[in-house]
Amino acid sequence: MRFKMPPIGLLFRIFLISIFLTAPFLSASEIFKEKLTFYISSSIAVSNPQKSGDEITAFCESGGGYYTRKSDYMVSLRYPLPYKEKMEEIVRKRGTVLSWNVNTQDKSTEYAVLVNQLKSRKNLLSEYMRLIESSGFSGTLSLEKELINLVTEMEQLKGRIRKMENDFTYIQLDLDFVSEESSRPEKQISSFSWINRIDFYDFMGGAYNGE
Amino acid sequence: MVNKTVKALFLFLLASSVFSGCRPFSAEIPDKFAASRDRGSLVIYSPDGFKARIKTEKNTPLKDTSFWAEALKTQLTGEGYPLLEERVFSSANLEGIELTWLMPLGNRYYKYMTAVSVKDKTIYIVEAAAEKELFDKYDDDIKTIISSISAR
Repeated sequence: MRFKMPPIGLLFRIFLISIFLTAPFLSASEIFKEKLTFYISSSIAVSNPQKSGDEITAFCESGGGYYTRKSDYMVSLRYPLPYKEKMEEIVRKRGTVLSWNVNTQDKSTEYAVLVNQLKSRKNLLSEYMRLIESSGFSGTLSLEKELINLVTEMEQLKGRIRKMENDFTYIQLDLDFVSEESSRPEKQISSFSWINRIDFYDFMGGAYNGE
Repeated sequence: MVNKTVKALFLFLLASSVFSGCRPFSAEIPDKFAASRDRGSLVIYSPDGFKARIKTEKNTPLKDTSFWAEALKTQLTGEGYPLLEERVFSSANLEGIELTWLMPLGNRYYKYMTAVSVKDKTIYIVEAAAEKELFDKYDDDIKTIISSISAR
C-alpha cells in the first residue's frame, strides 16, 4: 500500500492548531501584574501663562519627559511615572489649580493578550520558516502569502505593544493655563460681518428654539 | 373639505421640501444629542450643557480657508480670547481649520471651538462649547459630527 501525502491545506490547519496549543502564554501572575495608564487633565490660573508653560515644560524635560503639543495657553506633557507627585507639586506651586482630574486605567489584561498574540505568531513564523526549508517550489509559493500576512500582523502587534509600554512608562498631562488677570474679552469690530457674529457669549446665550 | 385637505397637504410637502433643501450641508448627529434647525443652521444640544452649531456664510470676498481662519484668529485673539489649540480637520468633502479657545464664564472655564472651511462660494462654520471637562467628554462626538459634515 502506497502512502498518500495529505493536501498541504490540511497539514497547514493541523500545524496551526498545534502551534496554538503549544504557544507559551503569559502566566496568571504575569497577567494580573498591574499595568496602569495615567491621564491627567488640569486647568491652572497663573499670572503669566507663557512663562509658566515654559517652566513646567523645562522641568518635565529635565526629568526625561517631553511635550507633544504646546501653545501660549496649553501644554500636553508626557513624563515618567516616578515624577507623578513631584510634577503635581511643581504645577500647584505655579498658581491656583482650578481642576485636577486623574483618569487611571488598568490595561494589564489587554497588554497580556497582545503579548501572547505576538508570542504565538513568533512561534508560527519560525515553523513557517522550517516548513519552507523542507517544502518544494509550489509549497514555498503557497506559504509566501501567509508569511507576508503574518509578518504584517506581527509588526502591528509590536506597534501596539510599544505604544502601550510607552503609556505605562509616561503619564500624560494636559495642562491649560488661564491668566489670573484675564477678564471677559472686549468686543471689537471686524471688517467682515460674519466674523462679527462669532461670539462665545452670544453663542452660549442662545436657547433651544423648539423647531 | 377634500380640497382644503389636499391644499394643506400640498403646502406641507412644499414647505418641508424647501426647508430640508435650504440647508447647504448635511451632518450625522449621534442619538445622544438633540438637534434643531435655526435659519439655515443646525444647532446641537446635549442634555448636560454641551452645544454646537453648524452654519454657513457667503464667501464674499471670495477667499480660501486659510484666509478666513487667519481673519477669525486675528479678530478673536485681538478681543482677548486665549487660544488653546489650532489644528487642521477634514470631513466628508471639506477641509478646514479648527481653533479652540478657553473662555471664562461665571466662575468656570469653557472650551469654545470654532472651525472654518471654504468650498466655492460658501464658508462653513462650526462652533462648539461646553464647560471644559464636559467638552473633553464629548471630544469624540465632536470629531464624529465634524467628520460627517458634507457640503451639498
